[in-house]
Amino acid sequence: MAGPACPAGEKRCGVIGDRRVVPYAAPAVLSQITSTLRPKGPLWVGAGIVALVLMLAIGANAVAPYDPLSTGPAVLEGPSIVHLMGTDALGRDLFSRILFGARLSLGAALLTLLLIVTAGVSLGLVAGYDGRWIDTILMRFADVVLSIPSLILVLAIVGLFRPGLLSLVLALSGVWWVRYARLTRGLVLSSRERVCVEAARALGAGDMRILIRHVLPDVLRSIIVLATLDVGNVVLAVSALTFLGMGTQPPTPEWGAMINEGKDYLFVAPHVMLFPGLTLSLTVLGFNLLGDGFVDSIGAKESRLP
Amino acid sequence: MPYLIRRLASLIVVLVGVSTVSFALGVLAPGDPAELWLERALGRPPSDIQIQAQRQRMGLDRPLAVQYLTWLNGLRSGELGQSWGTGRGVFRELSEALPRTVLLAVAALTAAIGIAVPLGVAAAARPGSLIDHASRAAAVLGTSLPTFFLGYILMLLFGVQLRLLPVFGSGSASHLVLPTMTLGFGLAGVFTRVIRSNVLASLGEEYVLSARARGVPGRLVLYRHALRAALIPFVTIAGLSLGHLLSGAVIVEWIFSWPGLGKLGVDAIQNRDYPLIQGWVLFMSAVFAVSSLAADLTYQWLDPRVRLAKSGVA
Repeated sequence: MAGPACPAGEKRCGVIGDRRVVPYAAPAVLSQITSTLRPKGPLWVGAGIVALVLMLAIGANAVAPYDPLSTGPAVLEGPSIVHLMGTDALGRDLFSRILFGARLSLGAALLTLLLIVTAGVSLGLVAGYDGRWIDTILMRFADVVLSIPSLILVLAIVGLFRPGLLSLVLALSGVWWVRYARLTRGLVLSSRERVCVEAARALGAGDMRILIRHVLPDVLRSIIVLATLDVGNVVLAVSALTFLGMGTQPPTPEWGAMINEGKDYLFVAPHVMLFPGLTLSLTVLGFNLLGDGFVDSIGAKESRLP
Repeated sequence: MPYLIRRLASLIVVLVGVSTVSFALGVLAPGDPAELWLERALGRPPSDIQIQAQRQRMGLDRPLAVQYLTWLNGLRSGELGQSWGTGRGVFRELSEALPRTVLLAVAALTAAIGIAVPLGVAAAARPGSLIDHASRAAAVLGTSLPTFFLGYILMLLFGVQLRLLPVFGSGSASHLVLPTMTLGFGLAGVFTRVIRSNVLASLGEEYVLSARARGVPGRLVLYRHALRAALIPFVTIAGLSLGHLLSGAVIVEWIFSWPGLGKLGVDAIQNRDYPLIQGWVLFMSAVFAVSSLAADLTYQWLDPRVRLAKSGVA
């Protein structure tokens, strides 16, 4: 799983989230060996978990036995037939809350990822292809943002502005896109040196055409790999922030916030914290297995970094 | 030593950038700090005259550049503004909390390395063995378990079920155990995989082959030759994990009420203590930047190839 650090002069190497990634750097022979050695099992397990969670999130209306906000007389009750995962301090059904919470937790994470990739790729393309002053400004900005630990910067932004799920998403994307922009820029720099780009230019293709027809597809292949590896990290980051009270306000069900609510009853009724926590962990595990398996199966070499 | 000077210069540039960002956060945030401060102090909405006077007292009527320089100048007197919560100098508050966070981070890093080195070498010595698979599973688990969830599970297990360890606060060495485990767990898994792959790679090198040919016993080859070479790139990885450690410490400290930088920051945010939040961002980034630089320099110093190439021997 873990490969060596970035080789010197490897422009396509970059750090995304907690990993250092060299997409498409593995020689064909190596990927053949690893694909025969490595079982496809984790990939399917991951895909299964993710599919299940996504379906439950979408179908929360149909599946949930109770209204996630309606309180009841049974307070802090353990799991039973009536309440599959028990009830919380206000007598609300935990299973229903987790189902509806999935919408917010995953929705916020996927929206964040979409914003990050869109902003990162488009600005990285411009910087890498244009060079000159846009490039300089963007990369100096990236240096500063990357030198602040991201959770700390996002916490400060959300805390100083207005806590809420939308500002959380915006702050997180505002900090995280920088990594993608930097990597895209590197990919563009190496991609535009390719023979096919030179040939297209010789045939009279303009900048825009080269960028969209030749450079973008090349860049996107690598970026999509990195984005699949990053989903789990984004889900974790969103829930960590909502856990610290920076996202949804009660009574809205959201996994991180539910763990925060559950912690007050940790010693009396641990299930209130355990069930959202387990669901969150399992979901992140699913995304991680899916991402790793996907990267393995297309033969890209990646190594996790702490 | 031009390299060191170059690195120090870029460190200064980064810190200037970060200080601008920290300052800008306070300026851009909605709401008038003078009004917010008065509301806290008086407990009721202040009058316009009071706000005007307070703006003058806080220097908010002066140009931004002057405010910025005054703020930075506070570093010299250990101030960096005053915390609205305690009324003490922000810089003083932060530097008092720093040692506790460093203690926690160092403990977690040490624990992670202590677990990862023997486990990684064992996994590399027998790829595909039970211990290899187990360490891989632990690594996947380590990156998937949210720190805050793991913290509460450990609390339940050791603090409530077994009643072995204190769950909150600080004071004795036993208070450090649970936060360290929580913070170190994810790192240990990742480190094990890195050590494993580095040892595996260096097992294929010629110096390992030549050591084997000279009849050096297998265990010695593993630890003295393969592991040593594998540890050098590992220093970089450990250095890169510092950001993760600092971010993780924020959550872990908050969960366990460990009175370090992380808890101070989250409390400041929840109290909307503007000056403390600004100083916190600057301070955390400075800690991050300086420790990354230290890790980098250690790496340079450890790797004989880099060191000798610079002094012109090789």
